[in-house]
Amino acid sequence: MRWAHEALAVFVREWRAEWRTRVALSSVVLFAVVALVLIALSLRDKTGIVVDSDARPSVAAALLWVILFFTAATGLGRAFVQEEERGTALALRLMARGTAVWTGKFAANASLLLGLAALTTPILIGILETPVKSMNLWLLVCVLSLGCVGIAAVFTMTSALVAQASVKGGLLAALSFPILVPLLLAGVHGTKAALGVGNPQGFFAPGTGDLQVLVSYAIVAVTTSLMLFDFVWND
Amino acid sequence: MATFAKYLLGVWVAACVAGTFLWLREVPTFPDPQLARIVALHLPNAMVVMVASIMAGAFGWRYLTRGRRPLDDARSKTAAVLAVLFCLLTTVTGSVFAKVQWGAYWNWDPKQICIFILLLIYAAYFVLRGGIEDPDRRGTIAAVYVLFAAVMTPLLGYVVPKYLPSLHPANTRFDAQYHLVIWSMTAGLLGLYSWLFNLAVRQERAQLALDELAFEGDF
Amino acid sequence: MTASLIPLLMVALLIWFGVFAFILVVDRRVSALERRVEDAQRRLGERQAAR
Repeated sequence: MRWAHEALAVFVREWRAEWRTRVALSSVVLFAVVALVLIALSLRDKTGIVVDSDARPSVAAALLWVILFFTAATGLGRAFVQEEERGTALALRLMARGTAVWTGKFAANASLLLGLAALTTPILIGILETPVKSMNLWLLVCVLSLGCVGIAAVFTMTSALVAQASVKGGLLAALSFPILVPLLLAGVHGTKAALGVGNPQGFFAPGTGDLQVLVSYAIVAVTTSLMLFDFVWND
Repeated sequence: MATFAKYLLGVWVAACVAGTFLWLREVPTFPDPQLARIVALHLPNAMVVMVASIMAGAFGWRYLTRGRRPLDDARSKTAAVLAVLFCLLTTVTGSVFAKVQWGAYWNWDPKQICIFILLLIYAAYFVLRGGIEDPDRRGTIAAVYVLFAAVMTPLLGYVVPKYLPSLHPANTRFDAQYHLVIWSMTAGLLGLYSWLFNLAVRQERAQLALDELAFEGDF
Repeated sequence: MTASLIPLLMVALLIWFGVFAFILVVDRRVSALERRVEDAQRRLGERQAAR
């Protein structure tokens, strides 16, 4: 019970600190806006969208996951770097135990990424004029939220690792991308299925395998992080 | 290792190579039945990658839980280096195999993507190691990352290729001769792996002892 | 078996024996390094005992 309180306290502290400066929030939103504008400018001309209607779901899925991955890389990496820079890591160590710190930060990261996905996806689907009729909305929501949870878990862990290294800039994306590939493959595959590539019949039928991979990936990522985080934190 | 064992290993692997080229028969289900034998040079490398990856993770775990001894970190790093080496061998033999069977050196097949990603993981691992000065801290961070990688390796190796459509044959029936040569080759390469591992760890241990001597002001 | 594979076999064996010889040389050098370290450690021990 105390553990849940500590995790909640870290989560609230994280969002309060974020709200004071809004560094991560504004950089993430700006990044998403820039990416969407760039996509809109390059894929549309006077007559409308230049992508064939058959190819649109695939293009939308690919671009969506590229945006999600790189937003995570710009926004979620600050979690532990900031603590080290401001020198508040020690206070946090006294305030809560390691796994609670990780869980609080992970929840904050996941909520940020989920909010961003909820904003970006409809706009992207609108820009690309993906046919809405063949779309499987619940599958899309499940795939995206599971994907965001997995991405947030991996980035929370790698940002704790990167906080200790002397070069921080590009290292975060380089460390996280190869670990995230199983998730990204399943995510893109599942998003394509949800947007109507392949067999649109059945509720979850087109994306069952993808959902299985995403669920098992999220479980594996969270448990491994919880097991290993104490080693990084209590050093 | 005893001298006898080293020369036995040399002869053993040479015999496996000779067996691959001279003793194995054609497999008619392959596009090029004659060159299906490359599998005996390809598959054993992938198995050694798996073993090396797991060993890197296991020594990382031992480093974290058993008092952070520098030698355990060196063992974990050595296993990772050898995993990269055998990963490269798997990729090269696999590319040749893909060229003769599917017509191109690189096909973006799920298994090819996965082995490429494994290489990326280890590249990131070595960049991470290079970015941390303090040896204790480097050992800890590297061990955590390598454990994370070791957990993801089976996902990359078995789960992802299973459910994405692949060019890799799913249920080719190889005859007993193939099984014998493939497993003998695996045994030989595992012997080679342990020899290299042993050499590198001995070298690291001597280096650590030298550093200690220099610290005592004698060297 | 076919005769056309024999040149390939020769190349493969040549590569393997090259690698094998290289590792043998490395093995020698590691052993020499270990002996050097042991000597240095013994000398240090003797000196400390004399002191």
